[in-house]
Amino acid sequence: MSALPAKPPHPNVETQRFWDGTAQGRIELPECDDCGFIAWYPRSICPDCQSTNMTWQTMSGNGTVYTFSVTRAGGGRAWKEHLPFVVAYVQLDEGPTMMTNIVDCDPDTVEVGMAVTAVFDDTGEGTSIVRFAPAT
Amino acid sequence: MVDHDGNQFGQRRNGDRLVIEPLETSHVYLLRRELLGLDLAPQGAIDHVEGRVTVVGSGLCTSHRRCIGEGHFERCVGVEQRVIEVEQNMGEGHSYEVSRIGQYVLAMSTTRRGLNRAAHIAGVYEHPQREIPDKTVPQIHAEVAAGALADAGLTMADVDAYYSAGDAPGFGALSMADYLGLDCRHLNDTETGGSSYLLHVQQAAQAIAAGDIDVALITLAGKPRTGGAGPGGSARFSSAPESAFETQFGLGVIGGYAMAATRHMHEFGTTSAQLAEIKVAASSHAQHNPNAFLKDVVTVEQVVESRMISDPLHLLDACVVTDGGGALVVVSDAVAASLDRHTVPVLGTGFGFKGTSSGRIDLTYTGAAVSGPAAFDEAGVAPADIDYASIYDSFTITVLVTIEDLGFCDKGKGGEFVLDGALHAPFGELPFNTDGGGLCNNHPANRGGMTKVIEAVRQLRGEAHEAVQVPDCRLALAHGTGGSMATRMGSATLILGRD
Repeated sequence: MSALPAKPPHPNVETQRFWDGTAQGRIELPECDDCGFIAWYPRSICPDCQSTNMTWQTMSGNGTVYTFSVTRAGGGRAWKEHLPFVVAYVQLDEGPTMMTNIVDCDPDTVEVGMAVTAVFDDTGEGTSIVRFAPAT
Repeated sequence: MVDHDGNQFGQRRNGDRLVIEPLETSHVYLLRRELLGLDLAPQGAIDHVEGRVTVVGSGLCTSHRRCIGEGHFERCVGVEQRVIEVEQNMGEGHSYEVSRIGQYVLAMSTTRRGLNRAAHIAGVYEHPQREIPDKTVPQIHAEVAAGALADAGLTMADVDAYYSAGDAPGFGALSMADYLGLDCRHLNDTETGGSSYLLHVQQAAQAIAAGDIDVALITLAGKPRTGGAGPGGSARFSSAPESAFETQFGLGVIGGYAMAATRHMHEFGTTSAQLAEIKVAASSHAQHNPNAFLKDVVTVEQVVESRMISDPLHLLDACVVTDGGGALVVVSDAVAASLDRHTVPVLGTGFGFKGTSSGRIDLTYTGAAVSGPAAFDEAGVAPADIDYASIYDSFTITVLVTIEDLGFCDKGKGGEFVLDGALHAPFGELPFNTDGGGLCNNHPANRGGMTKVIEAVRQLRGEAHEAVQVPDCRLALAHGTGGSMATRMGSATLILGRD
């Protein structure tokens, strides 16, 4: 678990399954039965073909850094003591690209294209924030 | 991009077959189904030239695990190959103008009616202050409204349409129209962030062209410097569907643009020094603007040595935070003819939405890749015809990517383009933001679109500062980027002329 703030989200009927999965250390996303599209962020109607036939699938948790930035100033009150920290987009091996943090490494070693693996930061309320660490 | 005979893309003869080389995964073709019509072969891939297009081939989209189908063009990445047949004849019937913008391809129906110079910008006003602790936000809206109407030679009683965006407090346009004492039959509250006011010009021009209205008033005001966040604060966004998936990571506004910059550098070799050239040009213009928030000329070294905020963007890569406001008055042909003022015809308009593509995001382009060609198409002009450009400059990277998307240079070449004083007025290749822009002059209410239009109008009227006035400026472009380059944005482009 990283030291970054892990503020509990507010799950709703569309996202409860995703957040339940994070508590178990899994990234689950809905895949469209009709067109195969896996959307980020999770939603109940396929944004690609409007099908409602969506099945939750467990992602591998592996991906690569699409882009990132090391935040060295600002970032809001809760984040000040954690500077510098890395904000990134990670592309999962299954396709979708999601916003996240890169943790458990020196921020200055992060690179575009770097292989990463999901880690889960417990919010203390039955959910976890999905972040990524360098793949070992 | 060349075909199998080594010919440059876009130089094909009639009926030739063309094979597009395999693309890198981040390349996106902006081919919109609704613009292309429904007569495409479902498995067809498509491409271009200045002429009619026939779809014959197919491609494999690795993201979808299946061949490209109708409606999937926008999101497709990783297209392995596209085989197309090109007919150069601009024949009758179903023709689509397909053009290349850098590495992107845009297809557009040629049936758009156009504005036919029906609408003109008759009045503009930029609030002179950058810190306004002693006035309310509605008060600033009223001041700039009065200023723009006076500039046009009109009064509040002449206004029959009012436009505001997310900076308008309360019920937005309803609250403000009431506060201003307007009696109008057309209200519009479209909110696309900082680009809203350019979109409002488009919407007003369309309403004028349709004969619905004659005098449209557009206002902006806010006090982020001395009065805190406006009505678009955090409460508005906490209910957004993306909220739980984007607010957990400490992302600040600059961090999002920094991620776009990181990716641009990775793909195209863009450098911090190249980005700094944009700030240098803006500062060289701002020195002549007595109202500019930052009037000091800076060097590339000063920019790249300023404090790193969010890699790779420094403090001086970012725009200013200022109180202030501005207003525009858009009028019909008949009203324009009745005014003493030198009015500016709205020749072309375009809007482009770009989102996160449901997890297939590509940060190397903006909605300008859609709004720009639409505006050029409507105006019947090309990027090379533009004498002056106001380009949204929330950050230096915003300008660099937008220049590419608007077609002033190829995709990925923005860093080279801005060298050698290209953006410097009056004699650079593309004089830009001669008021000092958002980077130095003013970014009222954290929204830079209004001032982009105002300075373009000044240039076309010959009223910019003499040190930065583009000689005989006849054709200007104003562009706004609202929302965030890192997630979802609304891009709006205007092409303005001279009567």
